[in-house]
Amino acid sequence: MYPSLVFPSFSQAPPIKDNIQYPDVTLYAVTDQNKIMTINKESFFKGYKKHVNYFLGTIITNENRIKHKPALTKARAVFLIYSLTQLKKLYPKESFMRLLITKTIKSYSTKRKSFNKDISNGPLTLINLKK
Amino acid sequence: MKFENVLTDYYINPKYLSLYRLLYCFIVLFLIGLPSYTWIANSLNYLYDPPFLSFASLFDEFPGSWFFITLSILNISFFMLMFLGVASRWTSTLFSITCIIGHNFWYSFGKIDHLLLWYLAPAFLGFAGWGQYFSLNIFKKNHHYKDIETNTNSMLILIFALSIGFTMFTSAAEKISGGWLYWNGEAVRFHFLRNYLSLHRTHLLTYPLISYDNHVFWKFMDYSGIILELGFIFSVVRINFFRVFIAAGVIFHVLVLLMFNIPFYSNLIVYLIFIDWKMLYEKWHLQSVFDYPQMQKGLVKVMAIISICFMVGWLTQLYHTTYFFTFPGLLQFVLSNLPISNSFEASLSIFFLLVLLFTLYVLYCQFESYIKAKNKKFQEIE
Repeated sequence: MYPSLVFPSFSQAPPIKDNIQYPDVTLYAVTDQNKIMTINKESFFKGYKKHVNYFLGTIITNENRIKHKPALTKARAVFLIYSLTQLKKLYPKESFMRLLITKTIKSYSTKRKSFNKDISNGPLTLINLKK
Repeated sequence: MKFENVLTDYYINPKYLSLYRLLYCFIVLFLIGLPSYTWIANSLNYLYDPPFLSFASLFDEFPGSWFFITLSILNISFFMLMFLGVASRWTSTLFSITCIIGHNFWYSFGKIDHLLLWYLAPAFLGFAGWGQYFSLNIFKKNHHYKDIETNTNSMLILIFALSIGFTMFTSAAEKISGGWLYWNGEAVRFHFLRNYLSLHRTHLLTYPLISYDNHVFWKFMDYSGIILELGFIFSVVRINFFRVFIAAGVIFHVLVLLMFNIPFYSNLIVYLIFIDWKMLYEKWHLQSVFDYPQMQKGLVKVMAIISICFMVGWLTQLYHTTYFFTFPGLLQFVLSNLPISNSFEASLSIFFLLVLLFTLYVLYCQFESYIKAKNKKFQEIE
């Protein structure tokens, strides 16, 4: 709720023994050659650095509810055009067919100071960019 | 403890509140700038996810650009009128309202920042008398200072202090329910690492701390954070206790900036309301300004020139492009012409440094006056 004087923040407090784990959302794009490329979220949503993970969360929600909310169709069409334009700017030589959003658990080793393999968490969201 | 005594403690003379109004507006004009809402109009409606129970949730999508341009112009106008003390009760309240409406849409992407208190403050302080001095009204014929009822003034300031305490309390309650008090968990370290790794907040003190693996240190950070956030609301019973928490709060927010790279500037602005203005007023001999209407008139003329310059500068920026997050303060404007990657965050960091230095100065002055009073008492006994 906004505005309100309730300020929830940073509530988690997991123990840290060599590893820390936290949820993350990853954005991929699939080319017409079926090549999957990881997209830099901040570059894709240029200018909205702080909001990118929330954007992807909203997109996942909207993709699930669009059948029950036809009013979103027009907004989705504009988003698809935006996505194609951004991808063309980032990778001018590639032709993209789909966006793929995955929810993952990132794991980082505080001992080795490097990331472990991501743990998949939740369904994939696939968005066709072209009809 | 009588409620009347608590209430009396929180009375701030409109003279001092007017000084705070100037400080508040100078912080905005020179250091942090004003938020712009025009960029929101360019956003994708597919990303529109307004907070439940908010003004923005009445809309199915972002309103058109005319809405945000009008809102931004109104917001600047009310701010400037408030700065000049024109109908300050209403312009201060309207400034708060336009900020709240704008931020409703700002937070319609799913993320809510809690920078609420700094633009809520004018709605309280306008009615407490912060527009009394240093206002354009001084040029009116037969100008006189209106009486603000002492109880109204102190009640509004007490309620605002309670609001700060309540926000801190809710934050602590959430942390306690999340397990911050359990010895095995390392909450501050977890959020520090997550900020570093996921959000790439990698500046200032982050690098030396990334590999610091001392459980007692991290647990100390957890517990001290909880004690501070919980204690705020209880400290309201005595203004002097509250001031101790205010000083600790400044250090807390500076640490949050250094470790998390989060410039939570809103609270720093409102903490300044509660400093001992009477002590500073006497130490800086400010009576020489208040006691001479000519001095006040001269200052108000300078303020009018400053506000016209900023108004023109900000509206010109609006004319050229609608895609920007803030109408920049003077410092941000200067820094943006230097090879600095983020001039807004750089100017906020300077603001934090200034507030920290000012807090240390006020603490030193209070300590000095305490020692003087003690010596005087001692001499009297002798």
